[in-house]
Amino acid sequence: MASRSGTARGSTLETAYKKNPAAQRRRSVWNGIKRDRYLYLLALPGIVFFLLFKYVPMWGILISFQNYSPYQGMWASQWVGLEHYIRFFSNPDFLILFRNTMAINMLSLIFFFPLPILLSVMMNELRGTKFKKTIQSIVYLPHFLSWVIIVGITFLLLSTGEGIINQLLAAAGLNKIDFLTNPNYFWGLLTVQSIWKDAGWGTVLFLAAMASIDPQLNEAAKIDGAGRFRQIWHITLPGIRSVVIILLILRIGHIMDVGFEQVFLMMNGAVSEVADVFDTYVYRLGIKQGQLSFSTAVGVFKSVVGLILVIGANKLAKKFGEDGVY
Amino acid sequence: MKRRRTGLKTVLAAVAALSLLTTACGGGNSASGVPDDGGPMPVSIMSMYFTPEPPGADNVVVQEIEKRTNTDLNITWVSPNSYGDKVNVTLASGDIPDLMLVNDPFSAQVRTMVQQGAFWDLTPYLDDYPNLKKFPEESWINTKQADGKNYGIPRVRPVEGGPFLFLRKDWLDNLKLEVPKTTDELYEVFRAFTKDDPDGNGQDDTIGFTGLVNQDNMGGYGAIVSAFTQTTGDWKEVDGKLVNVNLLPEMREALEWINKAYTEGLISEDLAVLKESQTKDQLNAGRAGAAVNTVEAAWEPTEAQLKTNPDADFLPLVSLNGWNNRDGGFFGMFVIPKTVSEEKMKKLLELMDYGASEEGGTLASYGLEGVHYTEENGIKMATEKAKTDIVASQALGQIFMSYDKYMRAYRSGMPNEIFERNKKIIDERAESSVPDKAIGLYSETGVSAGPELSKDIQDIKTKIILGKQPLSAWDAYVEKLKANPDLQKITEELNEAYKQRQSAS
Repeated sequence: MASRSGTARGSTLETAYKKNPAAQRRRSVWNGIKRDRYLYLLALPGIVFFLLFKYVPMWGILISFQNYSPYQGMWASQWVGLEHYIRFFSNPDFLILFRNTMAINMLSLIFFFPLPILLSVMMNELRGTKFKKTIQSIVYLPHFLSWVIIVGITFLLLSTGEGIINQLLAAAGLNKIDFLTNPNYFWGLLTVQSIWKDAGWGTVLFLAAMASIDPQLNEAAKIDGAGRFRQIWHITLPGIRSVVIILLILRIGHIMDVGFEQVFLMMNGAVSEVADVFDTYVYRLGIKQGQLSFSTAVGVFKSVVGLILVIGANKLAKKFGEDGVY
Repeated sequence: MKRRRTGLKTVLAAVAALSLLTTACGGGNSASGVPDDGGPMPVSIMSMYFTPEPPGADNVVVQEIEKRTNTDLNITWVSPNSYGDKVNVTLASGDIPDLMLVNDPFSAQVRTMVQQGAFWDLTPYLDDYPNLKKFPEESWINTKQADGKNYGIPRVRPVEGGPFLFLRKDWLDNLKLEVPKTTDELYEVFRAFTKDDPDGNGQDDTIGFTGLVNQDNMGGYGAIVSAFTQTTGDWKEVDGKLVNVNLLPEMREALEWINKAYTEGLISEDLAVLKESQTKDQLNAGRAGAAVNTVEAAWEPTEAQLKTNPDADFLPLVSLNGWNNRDGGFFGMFVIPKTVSEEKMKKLLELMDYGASEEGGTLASYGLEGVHYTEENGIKMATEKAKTDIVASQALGQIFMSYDKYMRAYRSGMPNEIFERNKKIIDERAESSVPDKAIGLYSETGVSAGPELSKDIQDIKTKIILGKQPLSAWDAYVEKLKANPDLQKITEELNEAYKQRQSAS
């Protein structure tokens, strides 16, 4: 008796679900969660991390619309609307910052981005495993040096007074070169530093992608008489194309970011007109001078541009039949 | 940017969590923050240190001070390199230590928070603390905020003996040169130090002067510039009105002088990228003949050079072109946030008053007699133990200091005759020193637009010194500067504040 009434109730519920597709969907979502509960448990710390440290602080962008004062707090501070944004865009500094940021990033995109691909193709062609591993370790190594050290090395090499290169030049009877204080060299210097530091590290993802290429393809190509370069062109490069595209999209999203430490450490009075970028500007006005609202406005601008570019690049990638980031 | 901002938030969150933890631990306290049971009062302090390492929580002298003042000190030591940033971040977090050193009492952040009533107005209480009262009048006057009140205890400094030129006396003697009194003579000395082999080793391995320019000021070259402009700081009184020194023809002369010295190789070749420690290395190694620092700091390279050269002697100059700088009598101030109860605030003043006493000051700077120092003819010699225990005026002595007019004549380990000579130099400097007229004057535009303007001005100065741009570019720049609406407004506002202060006194 008891069991029958139970079944009866169950079937009524089922018909209710059938009549209500939303509830049905809810149930299947819930079932899905229940089924994969351990996986979700595993993801929980990550979800909490993103909520707590990425999404909650995002409310902070509200202070870019007020004259934020820490003592008064966010609710009592005076709202000023778009004042800080207007001040930023009408400031003559804006164009300089924009130019410098774009120039440094475009140089990096053109000269830095292709290098890890080239390097990883070359490493992929190495046959001796031990030799390959050694080379890999050596090219990764500079990535683990902090910018402070790299800039220190740069100064040791290139400063006019005690720099080794300039001392060699002087000893050879040549004129010293003002690498560090000449605005013409600054962007190039940054690009070279970035390449030295991170070109090797950038190969990690490409090498992983190449490892997943089916070796049968190479064998088949070899039987068909394809040489090494043919194999690289028709097998290796197409094999990593989607990874390249994804990284390119992500890179474009960061086009407004310039490694703060690097520029900050390399900057000096003689080159500041080509060195000042959004990040150093935000640091100076926000942290050093305490103009929190204004510098937040600059930060928001940067993020919005970055977001638009990511979405744009992703759309473009999809148009050309690639997967994109999402 | 997004990543960096969240990074900041993370730090803030961590700080908040930490402070929650510490307050939770301090049980047994009444609401006022002063323990009812007569136990030690917990005090959080933020300050900077100049020793290689900061003193730890178990530092003997910190413990001794805690015992004598019945407190429980929780000191956050911050490196001077990033102190300004740390102050701004801490103020922004709203979680302010009981006693916090703000290195610039007139920064935008501090000024706004004073106006909003974030800190205790100490003016009505100060009369009760005899040792704090012993600080020179100028230290208190110059740290007054826009409303003429004292919101902090100055980290007191003597007005005389501040950063100024010092140079190798033994090199002068070798080259049979007089101590320079004018910028022209100084140029000749720098030239001889560079070209005439002052150390007699037969090698061309010396320069006249080592110093760097910062990104927003002239750094080590400020003293030379001021000798030309005959004023201290960025403002000069001309016919009763304050004028920005950059608009004066003397600034052009100064730039011309420095540029010439640079082109001839008499001063640091890398002055735009040099670090403070590198200039010290050059002095210690006997490769540079002059630099700028406080009177007693000239002993530092002397001591280093004496190890290899018994004749080495860095002599602090008295004046140049009849000018030398008179300091404001403070290097930052300690503020007490309004979140602290009145009862506790008074106790904190008591603690600072103890630190300003002879006993407290000596204890903080030199430690315990017989353990950390021995005394002979009034000269304290630091022992090895002082170094390992991190007992120094450069650490704890930055918080607790008894005022002494000759504070900048003395370093532990200095021979008596140098100490006496330094005292004489300080007395002589008092006769020609010029104070900064604009110190503490409030200009709203100056606070918001001033820092970027200073940076802009310094950029072109650096380029002119390095010869990247001709002097005519400076003339053009000055013309532009004269028409700069921000500078005009700053000048107007400062002059108004200046007039107000003059009529008040």
